[in-house]
Amino acid sequence: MRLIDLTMPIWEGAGYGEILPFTNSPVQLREYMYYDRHGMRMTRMKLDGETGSPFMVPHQRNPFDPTPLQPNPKFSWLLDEIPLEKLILRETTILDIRVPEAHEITPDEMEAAIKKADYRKGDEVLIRTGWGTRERAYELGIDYYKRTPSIHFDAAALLAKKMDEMGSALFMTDCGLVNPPRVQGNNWFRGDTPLVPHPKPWPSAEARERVIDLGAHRHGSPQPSSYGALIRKAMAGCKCLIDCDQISTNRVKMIVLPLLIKKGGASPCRFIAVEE
Amino acid sequence: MKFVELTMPLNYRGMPDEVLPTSVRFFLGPKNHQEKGMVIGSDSGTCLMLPSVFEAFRKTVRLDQVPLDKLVLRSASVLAIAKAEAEEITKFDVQKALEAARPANGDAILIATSWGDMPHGESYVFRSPHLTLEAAQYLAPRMKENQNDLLLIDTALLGRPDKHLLPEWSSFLPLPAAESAEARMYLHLYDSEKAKKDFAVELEFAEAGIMMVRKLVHCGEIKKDKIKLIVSPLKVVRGVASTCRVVALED
Repeated sequence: MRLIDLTMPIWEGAGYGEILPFTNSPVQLREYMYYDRHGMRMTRMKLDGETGSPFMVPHQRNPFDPTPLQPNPKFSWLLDEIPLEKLILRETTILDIRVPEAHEITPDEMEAAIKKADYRKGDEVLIRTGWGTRERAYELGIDYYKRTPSIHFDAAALLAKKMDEMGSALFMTDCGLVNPPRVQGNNWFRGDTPLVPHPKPWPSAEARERVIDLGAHRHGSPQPSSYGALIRKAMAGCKCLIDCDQISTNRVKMIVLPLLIKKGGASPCRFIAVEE
Repeated sequence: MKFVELTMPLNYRGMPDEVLPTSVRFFLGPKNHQEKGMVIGSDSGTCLMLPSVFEAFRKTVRLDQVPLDKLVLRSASVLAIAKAEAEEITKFDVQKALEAARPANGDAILIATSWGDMPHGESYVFRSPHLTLEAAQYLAPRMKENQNDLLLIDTALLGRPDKHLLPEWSSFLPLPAAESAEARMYLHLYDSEKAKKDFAVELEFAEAGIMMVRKLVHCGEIKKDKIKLIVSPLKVVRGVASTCRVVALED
C-alpha cells in the first residue's frame, strides 16, 4: 500500500488567501507561547473555509446562512453530518486532462477524458491536470491562481450531468480555481478594470467597496459559475489539490477528511490517495 | 469495515476545552463579519502535539513532514484503562493494560478511559483523568523501544499541569476567558521553568519521540483491541501542533 498526500499546505501569506476579495481570507499564524519564553510553542491560526485544499458542501455558508450556493442541490449534508463511509477509502476515478497553464478545460476535453477513464458507478471524481504542485504554489504566490488551469462552464455542466448519472458525490481537482480566473477574479485581478496594485481581500476597503458596487459578495462576472454547475450535483467540491501526478494509476482510493465543524459548510481538508 | 468517529466537533457556540490561558477560542465568522473565516488554536478540540512543540525538541519533525504512514491507516492497540473524574492513570494501570494488550512493534497506542464518552461540561479539563509522571516514565521508554511512536488518549489532559497552571489560573474568580487580558497577562508571566514542571508528562513522551493526541471522544464505541487509525491534522508548514480529525477503522 502506498499513501500519497495531495493536500495543499497551510502557511502565512499563501496565495489562496490573498487572491480573491471574499471567498477566502488571508492565513494568519500568531504564536502566543514561544520557545524562548515558555519553552514551548502554541499557535493561534486564522484560517478560512477555503484555506489550503478545501472541502465545500453545497450549503457552504453554514452555520450562519442555510441558503445553498445553487438552488436545489442534490446533497444537503453539512460537515458534521457526512457519514464516514462517504469520506474514507472512496473509490475514485481520475480524469486526466493535461492542459497548459491558464487553459480553460473545454467540453470536448472533458468528454474525451470521461470516455478514456475507467469510470465506474459510485466512483468519486478527481480531475488531474498535473499543473497543481506544492513547489509551484510556493514559487508563484498569488500568480498561482491567476495562471491556474480551470474549467469552462460548459465542461463543468457536462461533468455534473455525468456525475449525477454515475452516482458520484465528490468532485476533486488540482486546479487552483474551478471557475476560470476571468470569471472568479472579474474586475479584481482580471476583466476590464482590474485593481492595480492587487488589493488585500476582505475586510479591506477595496473588498468593502466591491460589496457596495455589486450589492453582495459576488464574483461580479456576467459569465455563469462552473463551480455552481458542479456543486448542484456534488456532496462536496474540493479544489487546489496538489501533486496528483504522484498517483501512478487511473484509479485510486481516497481518504478525505475535513475538520469536524459543527454545522459547518466548508473547511480545510486533508486528501490522501491510497494505492494498493 | 466499521468506522468510528473519535473527533470532538469544533463548535462555534463554545468548546469545553477553552478554559485555560493556554487555549484559543474557536471562532467561526460569517462572510460579512470583519473576522470572516475561522480562528482555531493548535490544541483546539481533538489535537495532535508533536515533540517539536517543546523547545528542547524543536529540531525534530514538523506537521508538514510527518510521514503519512505514521498517521494514516496505522495499526493501533487499545489499552482500556477505565477512569472516573480526576483519577490518575498510574504506573500499575499502564503495566497491567500493556500486559493485556501486548502492542505489536510499530503500533500506535490508544488509551481509552471513557472520559471522552462522558458529557463535556465545565469539569472536562479541570477534572480530567491524567497520567502520573511515574506512569509516563514507565510507558514512554517502552513505547520508544517498541517503535510505538504515537500515543492517543480520550482525556482532556495528558499530564496534570498542577504545579503552576491549574492552581494559579483557578485562583482567578470568576474564571477569566481564554484569550482574555488576564490570560495574556498570565502567559506573560509564565515561563519555561514553570512549563517544564507543568508539562513534565508531555516532555517524557516528547523526549522519547512520541507524538501525542488528546481529547478523543466516543472511544467506548471501539469494540476491538486491535484497530487501524487515521489521524488527520492540518498540514501547517513548520507547524508543531494542530487540531485534527481522528477515525478508527475496525475490520
